[in-house]
Amino acid sequence: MSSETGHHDDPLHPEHLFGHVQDAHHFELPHAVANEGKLHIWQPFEPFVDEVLLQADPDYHLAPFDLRVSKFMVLEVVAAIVLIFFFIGLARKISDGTPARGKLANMLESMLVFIRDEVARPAIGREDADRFLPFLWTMFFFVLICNLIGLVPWAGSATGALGTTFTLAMMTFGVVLTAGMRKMGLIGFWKSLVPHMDLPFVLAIFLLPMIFLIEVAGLLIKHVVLAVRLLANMVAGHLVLAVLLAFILASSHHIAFLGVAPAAVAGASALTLLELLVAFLQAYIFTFLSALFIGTAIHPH
Amino acid sequence: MIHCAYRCVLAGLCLGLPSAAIAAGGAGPDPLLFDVDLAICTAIVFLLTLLILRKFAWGPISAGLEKREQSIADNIATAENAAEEARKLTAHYEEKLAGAADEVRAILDEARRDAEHTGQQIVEKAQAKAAEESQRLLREVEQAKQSALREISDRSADLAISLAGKIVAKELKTEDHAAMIRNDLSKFSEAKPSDN
Repeated sequence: MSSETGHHDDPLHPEHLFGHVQDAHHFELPHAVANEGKLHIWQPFEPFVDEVLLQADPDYHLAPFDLRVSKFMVLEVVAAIVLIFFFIGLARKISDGTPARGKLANMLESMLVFIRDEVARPAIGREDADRFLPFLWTMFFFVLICNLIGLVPWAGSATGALGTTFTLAMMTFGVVLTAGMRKMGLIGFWKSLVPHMDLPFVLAIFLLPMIFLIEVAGLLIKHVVLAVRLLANMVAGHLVLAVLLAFILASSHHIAFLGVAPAAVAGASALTLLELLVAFLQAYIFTFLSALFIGTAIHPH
Repeated sequence: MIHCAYRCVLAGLCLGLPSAAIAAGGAGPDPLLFDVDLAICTAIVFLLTLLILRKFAWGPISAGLEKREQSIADNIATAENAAEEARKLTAHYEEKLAGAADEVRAILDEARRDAEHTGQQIVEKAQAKAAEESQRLLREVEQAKQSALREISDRSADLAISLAGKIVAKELKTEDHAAMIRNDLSKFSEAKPSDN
């Protein structure tokens, strides 16, 4: 851990801890492997930014849209490649109706069937569920693999950034909106948000628009919460791990180090196992709630 | 230091409230930082993955699973049909077996009846033969009797003729005549057929 600035001397400083959890433009690697422990990511857009955008306008405000490749972007691509590799492999094995052979194929297939039979079909309904299966399958495994990559040393969890989870939640929101509008009609979907009530006309004029606003806000909030839930779970888990391991560094100049280090390693190992559970659990919850929201949109009452 | 760690854990637990995290870290890190580039990248990567997998993985996998489920359902239906068929066949054969026992009993009964009948016939035949035999014997006796009687009558005629000749040969007197008849008659009575 380099200590160029003042607060970096303190391993338990929030900025230091968050540095291990949040996105970056470099991978943290052992000092023996990489210079200063950092492997900077190749920036393909850098010449374009430097020579075109900054030439044209020296005051070009780069943030937040700065065209820089970050660690999480790379890891998302890795997750996508893993996903494509695994499932095209599985598709080749079982597309002709033969049973899956091998541990990996059976494991992947049982997870797919679980999402189909225990998540999609109960939440959306037998006849509509299969249309949304590709989305739900991709969502589950994309989130799961991003979560699991977070447990790999020196990598990170792409689902630990709001940019990722919010986008994924908005994907669900988009599917919910299009599915609902396709099923209920453009106006019918928005009308179906307001539950049917027998109100006197005068009361209805005031109440129904307010209820409509509350329902629309609720629709938005539940999708934003979808994003925040996943983000919070991933960040919190990794942060606790970072804190536990930072205790070792913090006690390195003290005799307590002899007790703190083993306890911290044991605790971090146990929490990593818990994180493994959380990785699956959060992927499942995200997918399950997505399916539930889709089901609610196409069967409003 | 411990206080600081506590604040960090607190910040981690209060991630839903960005203000709390910022307060804990001062002007430090914001876990709710929204990186537009990352969001765009996520959208592109996710949608591309979805499209690629939909075409090359989810479609074939769904079809494969469906096909397998169908074939399993078919197999179960076939097996059920086969079981039903086997049950029917068993019932049929059991019926046939029961029929065969009845048949055996019938055959045995018939055989017994035949045997009894044959025995009866043999007895009847024997009785008939015996009766016939006795009839034949009776007839023979009758014939013998008839022939004996015929012989007697022939001999008596002969005697009569010889007697007449004697009478003719001697000139008979009345007393001689009577004596002669008496004589012959005694001879006649000596030759009675009942003494045979």
